[in-house]
Amino acid sequence: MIALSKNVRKYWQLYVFIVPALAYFIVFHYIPIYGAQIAFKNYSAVKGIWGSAWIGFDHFERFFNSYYFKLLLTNTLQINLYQLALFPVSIIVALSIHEVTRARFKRFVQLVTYAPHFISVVVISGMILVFLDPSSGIVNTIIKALGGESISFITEPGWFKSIYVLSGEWQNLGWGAIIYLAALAGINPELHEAAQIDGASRWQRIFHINVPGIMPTIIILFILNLGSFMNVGFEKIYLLQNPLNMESSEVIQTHVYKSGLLQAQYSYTAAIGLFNNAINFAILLTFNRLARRSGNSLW
Amino acid sequence: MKKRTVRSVAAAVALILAVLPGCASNGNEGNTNTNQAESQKPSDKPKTFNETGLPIVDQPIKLTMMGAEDMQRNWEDLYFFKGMEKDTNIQFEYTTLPSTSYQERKNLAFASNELPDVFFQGGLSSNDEVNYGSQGMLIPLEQLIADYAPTLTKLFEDNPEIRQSITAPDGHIYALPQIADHPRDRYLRLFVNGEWLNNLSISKLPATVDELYDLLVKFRDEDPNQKGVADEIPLTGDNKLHYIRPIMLSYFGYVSDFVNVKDDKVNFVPVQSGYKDYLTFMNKLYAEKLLDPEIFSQNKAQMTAKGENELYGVMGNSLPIFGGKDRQVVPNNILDNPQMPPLVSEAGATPIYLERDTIRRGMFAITSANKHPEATIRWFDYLYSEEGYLHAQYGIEGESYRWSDTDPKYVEFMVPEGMLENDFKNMKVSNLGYGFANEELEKKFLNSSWLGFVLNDQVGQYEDYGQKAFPLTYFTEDELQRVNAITVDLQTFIEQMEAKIVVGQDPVSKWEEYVQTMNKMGVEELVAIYQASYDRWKNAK
Repeated sequence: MIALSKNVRKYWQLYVFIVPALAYFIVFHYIPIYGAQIAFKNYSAVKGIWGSAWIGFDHFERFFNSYYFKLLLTNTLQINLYQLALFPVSIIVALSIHEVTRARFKRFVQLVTYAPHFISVVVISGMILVFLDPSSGIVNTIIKALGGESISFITEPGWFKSIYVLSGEWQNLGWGAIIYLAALAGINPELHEAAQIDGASRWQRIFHINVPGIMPTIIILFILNLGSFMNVGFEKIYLLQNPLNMESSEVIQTHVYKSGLLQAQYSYTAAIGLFNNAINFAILLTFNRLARRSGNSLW
Repeated sequence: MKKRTVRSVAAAVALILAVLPGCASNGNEGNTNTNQAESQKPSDKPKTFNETGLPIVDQPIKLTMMGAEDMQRNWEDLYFFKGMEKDTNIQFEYTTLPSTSYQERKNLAFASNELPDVFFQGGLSSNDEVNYGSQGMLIPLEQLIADYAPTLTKLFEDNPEIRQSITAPDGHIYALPQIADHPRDRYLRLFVNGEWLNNLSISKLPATVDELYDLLVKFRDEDPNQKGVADEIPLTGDNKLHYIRPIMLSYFGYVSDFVNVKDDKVNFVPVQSGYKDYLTFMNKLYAEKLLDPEIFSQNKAQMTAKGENELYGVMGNSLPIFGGKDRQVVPNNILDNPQMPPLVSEAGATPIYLERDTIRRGMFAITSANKHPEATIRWFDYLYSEEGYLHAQYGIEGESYRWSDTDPKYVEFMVPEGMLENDFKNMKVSNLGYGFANEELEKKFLNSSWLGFVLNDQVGQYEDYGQKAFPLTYFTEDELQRVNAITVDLQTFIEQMEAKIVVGQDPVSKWEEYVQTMNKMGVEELVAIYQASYDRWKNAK
C-alpha cells in the first residue's frame, strides 16, 4: 500500500489520465448492473428497484416456455453464425488494400469501402427496401431485364438473413479493415526486404509475413466479436421486419423491444436480457481460455 | 511482473473507492429531492384557486404536460392552449412526441417515476390505467369530479355508459375519455373509385362477397384507369391488413379480429370457422392479383404514391387516394367515391358491420406529481364545455376565428393569406381533440356543408348493421399479467399465420393445424379472462 501511494504520487499524471475512462465504466456499466435484479422481481416504479417483490425465476420460466423461444434462439444464433462466417472478409480486404502500391488509388479504395459506415441505419434500411422493391426496385429491374422473375426479397423469409448480413457486411467492410491496415503498417519492412532477397513470391510474403504479423490483432478482434455474439443490431432488423419474414427475422432483441419498451414488461425483458448476456459471457470466457494457449488472450 | 499486476489492481480498487462515494451521495440527493416533492404534495389548493367561475386561478400557475403529437409539434403556439390559458390562467410546459415513439416515452416516464403533471392525448391503455392507477401514479378522479367538475358530472348523468366504461375494477376513475360521438368515426370504410365505376359504366355496388370479387376482377382486367396497361391494383388498405381486416371479417360474420361477444358469450375469432372462409377469400384475392401484392411490406408513403398514380380501385383508408391532389379535395373525394356497403356471404348471411366505440379512453389524466389537482380537474372540466370545444376546434375569437355575416351564423377560420385552411387548423389552432362533441354541438357552430356532416350522412348505410366487438372493460391486475403474457405471442402468431396463408406460403388447409397451436398458446384461458371481465361489466350495468 505504501509502495502504491508512493507510486501514485510519482506518476500522478498517468493516474489522472485513466480516471475519466474508469469513471465512465463504473457509472454507466457497473452501477446499472444492480438494476438487473428486476429480472427476479415484479418491478413497479413506485416501489423502486429495491422495494419490488422477489418472485424468483418466474420470468425465465415464462420465456423458456413461450412459443417463440425456440424460434428466437435459432434466428439469433443463425444470424450471428452467418456474420461470423464473414469475419475473414475484412482481413482479406485489408491484405489486398495493403498490397496496392499507388497511394492515390489506395486512398480512393479505402474511402469507398469505409464511407457507407457513416450512413445511418434508418437510411440504410430505407435504401434496402427501395432497391429490393419487387415492382420498381433496381435489383428486380435488372433481374427482369435479364429475363428472370421478379423476386419479393423482403417478404421471403429465406432471403431475410442474407439481406441483413450481407448489407451489414457491405456497410462495415472498410471500417473493419482499418484496424488491420494499421497492424499491417506496423510490420517491420526489413522482414519483407529479407524475404524478397531470398526470392519469396508475393503470395508467400503475404502468408508468411503479413498474416502472422497481424495474427494477434485478428485473435483479439475475434474474441471481442464473440463477446457480443448473441447481440444482433436491433434497429435494422426491426425496420426490415414484416409479418411474412418474421419467422426468420424475429430475434431476441426485437422480442425484448416489443414486450419491454412497447408493452412495459420490464422485469420479463430484463430476464431475457440477462439470459442473453449470460450466454455471451460464457462464450467469451471459453474462447479467451482457448486463445490463451496461443498467447494472445484478452487477459 | 507479479508485483506490478498487484499494484495496478490496487490502484484500480483505490480509484473505484474514490469514485463511489461521489455517486452514492448523488443518488441520495436525488432521493431527498423526490421525498421533498412528495411531502409537499398534499399542499392542496393554491391560495388564489376559485372553486367556480373563471379564471380558475387568479395567479397563473404552470404545470407540465405530456402527450402525443398529431401534426403540430409546438403546442405552445396553438391557439387552443393559448385560448384555454387566457380563460383559466393555467399555463403548461409541454413535452410532446410523435405518436410513433410516444408509447415508449410514456412507458419510460412511468418506469422511472418522472411524471408530468398532466397527460393530454395521453394514449393510456386500460392496462396503464389499472397498473399505474393502483400504484398511485395516476390519481383517482371521481371525488375531484364530484367536487369541482359540473360539466363532467352532467355528462356522466346524461350518459351513464361513459362512467361505466371508464371506471376501473377498483371503483376509481383514473383517466378521462374523449367523447367523439360522431357517426363518421364509428365505422371503418372501404372507398370505391367512382371514376373507375363510371369508366366501366358500373352503376350497382356489390351486395355479396362474390359480387365484390367480380367487381375487383373487372377493375383488374378492363383497364378502368385507361392507361392502356394492366397496372391496376383492385384492392388495398392502410397498414398491412390492419385496416381492411375487420371490414372483410364482418362479411364473414365477425366484427372483431380478436375477441367478440355474441349473446353474452365471448368468442375468440381466429379459431372460428368463419375465419377460415375469410382466409380463403383473401388468399384467392392475393393469388389472382386482386389484392395489393405489396400490402404486407409497403409503408404509408408508398401506398399514397401508388394511389396518386391512379392505381387503386377499392381502398381501405381514412380518406380515399384515387389520384393526385386535385382528386383529394374535400368534400368531393368523399362524394365522388362511394363507400362499400356491408356485404354478405355464406358464412355471414346477415349483414353486420363493426361499430367502433366513440368513447376514447385514456386521453386525459392527472399524475401524483401534480400539486394542483383541483385546478387541473377544473381545466379539464372546462375542456368539456362549449367554450372548451370552441377553443379546441377554433382557437380564439377575433384571432383565429370569427362569426360569419350569414344567417344562420357559423364560425369560420381567419386563415392568413397563402395558407390552406386545413393547414391553418392543424398547424396553428389544433387537431388534438376536444373533450366532448356530437353532431348537435357541431351544428351550432358549423356550416351545414362541412365535411363532417357529409361524412355523417354517408355512413347512414352502416348504422342499421353496426355491432360492437367488445365493450370497454378493464382487467384486474392478476388478469392483466396473464393477458399480457398470452397476447403478445398470440398476436404475433396470428398475424404471421394470416400473412402466410394469404400470400400462399402455407395452404389454407393448414389453418386447422394453426388452431391447435393457438389453443396450446392459451386461447382458452384468454377467453375465460375476457368472459370474467365482460361479466363484471355487464353486472355493473
